[in-house]
Amino acid sequence: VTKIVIADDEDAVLSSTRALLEVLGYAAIPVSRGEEILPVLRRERPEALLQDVRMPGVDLAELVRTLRADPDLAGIAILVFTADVDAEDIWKSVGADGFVEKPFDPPELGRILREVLRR
Amino acid sequence: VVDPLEGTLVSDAGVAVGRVQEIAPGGIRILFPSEADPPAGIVPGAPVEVAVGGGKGDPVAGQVVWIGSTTDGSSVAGVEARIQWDEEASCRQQQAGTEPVLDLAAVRHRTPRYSTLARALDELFVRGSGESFDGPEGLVFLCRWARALTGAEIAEAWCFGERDRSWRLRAVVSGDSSEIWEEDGPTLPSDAIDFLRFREAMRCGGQLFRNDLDPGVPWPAWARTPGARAALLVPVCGREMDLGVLCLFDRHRPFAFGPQSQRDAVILARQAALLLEQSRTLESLRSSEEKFRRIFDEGIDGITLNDEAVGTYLDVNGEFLKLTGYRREEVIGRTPAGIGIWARREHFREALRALRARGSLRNFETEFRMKDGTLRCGLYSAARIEVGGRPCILSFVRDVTALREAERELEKSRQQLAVTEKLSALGRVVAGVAHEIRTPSTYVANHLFLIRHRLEALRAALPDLGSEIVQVLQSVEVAVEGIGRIDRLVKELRRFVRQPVSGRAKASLDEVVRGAVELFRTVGQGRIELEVDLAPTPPLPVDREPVQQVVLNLLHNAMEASPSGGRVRIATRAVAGGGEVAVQDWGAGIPPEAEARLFDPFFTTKAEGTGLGLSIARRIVEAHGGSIRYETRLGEGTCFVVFLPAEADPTSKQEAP
Repeated sequence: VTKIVIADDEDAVLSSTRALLEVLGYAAIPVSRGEEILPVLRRERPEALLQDVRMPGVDLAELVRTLRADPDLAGIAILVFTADVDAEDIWKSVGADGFVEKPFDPPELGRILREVLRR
Repeated sequence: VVDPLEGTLVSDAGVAVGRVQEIAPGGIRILFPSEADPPAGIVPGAPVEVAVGGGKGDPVAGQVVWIGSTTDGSSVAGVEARIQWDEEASCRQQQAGTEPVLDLAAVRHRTPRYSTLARALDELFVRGSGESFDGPEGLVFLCRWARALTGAEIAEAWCFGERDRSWRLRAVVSGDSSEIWEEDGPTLPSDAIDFLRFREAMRCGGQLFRNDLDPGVPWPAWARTPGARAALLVPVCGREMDLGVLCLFDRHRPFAFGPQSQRDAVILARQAALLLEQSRTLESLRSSEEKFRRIFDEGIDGITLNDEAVGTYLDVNGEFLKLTGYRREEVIGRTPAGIGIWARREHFREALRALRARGSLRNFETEFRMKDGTLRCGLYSAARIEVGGRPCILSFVRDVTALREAERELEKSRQQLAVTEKLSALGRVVAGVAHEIRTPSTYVANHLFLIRHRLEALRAALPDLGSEIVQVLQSVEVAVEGIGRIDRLVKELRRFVRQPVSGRAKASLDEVVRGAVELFRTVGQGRIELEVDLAPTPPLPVDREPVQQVVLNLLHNAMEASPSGGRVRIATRAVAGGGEVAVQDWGAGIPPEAEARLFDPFFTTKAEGTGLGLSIARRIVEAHGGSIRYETRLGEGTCFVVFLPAEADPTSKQEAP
């Protein structure tokens, strides 16, 4: 089963997205606090990280750099999602692999995830 | 007997009785001054004989033909007698050949002193009216003539300064050489006392002369010439002050300057004073005229002088010509109305009326038409003046076109800034609100998906409840659609407050519009029949996506306004300076009460409209330097036309997000 870590400080979003990912056939591991992200990633070694853009205590660019620099974590596909408007450019500038806008259409999320994971 | 030295008529007794006025081939005119009675023999009809003194030439016989008083200005100068030569004497004289009976030139030739004074005065006058006498050349000129007149060995002329102890210029002429000193400061203190005393004496009209200088006699040190035996100092006195002094010296002849020399020197000095004063007056006039001429010529305003009676331009300055583009010869002699410079005739009449009523006019703002037809904004000021006795109008025009444009520009950017500020504040609010709305939307949408997913599973597991479950699923679909609508509204709101992003590339309008039309067809639900007529336009600098947004908004509005199955036409065409896209519908038209607020944000006539479509469209079009207009008829339809320029307005800023 493909493992995906979801990081979001909004519990309702976190839990519903987790349930949704499981319906889509993924094993989803939720993280609601910024400082837990790296330990969870090291422990779980997921194929992908679905990361909220604005999460307290998380510098997205810094996080992406850390992941890319770590040989153990460099393989994780990073997909960012946000409820912000005009955030389309952020994922490219930080070097993430993809972007999903909240609210998202679940089949569309599934399509993007598959694409990112294939790459 | 005519005394050739004095130019006088001397009686047999040797007394000077009259002055020779004129000698002509036919006769002679003699003036007997008032003080002296004419000699007894001078009565009309009396025969007389006139001879040139010194035994040269025989006496000539003639007859007194006329006696009468003669005036010198207003006062009677004396009695004049005209003597006509006898016929015989004239003939004899003519037969004898060369010389006329009595030749005044010959008389003058024989009386060098007289002719010298006359010539000196003449020459001085000519010299003084030709160029400024107030300079070294003038003083040297004066000295030369003073020497020629008085026979002085050394002639010296001083020009005093404006202060008591100062002199400006000193010229010394001796023989053929002349020397010039220029000084602008006080004389030496030891000399100053003498100098002042001398000036004081001079002011009183005196003159100083010494015919036998004794080294023991105190003589102004500054005016002392070593070894002088005779000296004559004459003031050069103007009407109000002494201007200088003329000094004559002789080192060889102790009694060089007789009364005649003194009188001649005084006359010469007066003439020089007159010329000096005249030169100074002319100079100050010239410099003040020059000053005014400079103001006229180099003024930053356009200045014109017009004849008040007929209105013709008498003079215009360079700035006026530069401003209007006319050449001097195109305006001089013509009238303002003739060249049509006042763009608004009623203003011209109003200005003239005010000018006649008040004598002057200040800062009257109006438009002027230049030679090339362009209009410029000017502040017109004028005054009625007299030039050489002729009533004239002196006008000043200041070009304030750039100023007014800048003011308009400033006002525009001020308004724009206000809008931008409002929008950016609004933008921040909207961005924050959008995030807050989209977060719950996300989990509502997620849960709706999960509900649907589970209901599908339930429906498969519980076929008995199938119809019930389908109903719930339909409710879920409506809820999902509601979420979609919330999100579209949020995005549209956001798009409205977002500043246009710069990303202009040259593209032809028809091609950009074609893209929008394709897009519209995929979402346009086929509710209307779209007629597309895209004529090619030249490439225009456009921000493709926003312009397509404009087209989509217009198409959407047209569709909304049309009855189901109605027709909407979209067309592009090239126009002067750019391209146009027109969207025409045959719907209800825009009600008049809606027109005023048509482009206001959030103004809508539609139940489901956000009221942002047209205001967004206008902002995008204006950011391109273009314009949006429409024509509408109630019950007949509406046509919106967007114009985009080929050259983007350089003043329109491409704003950052």
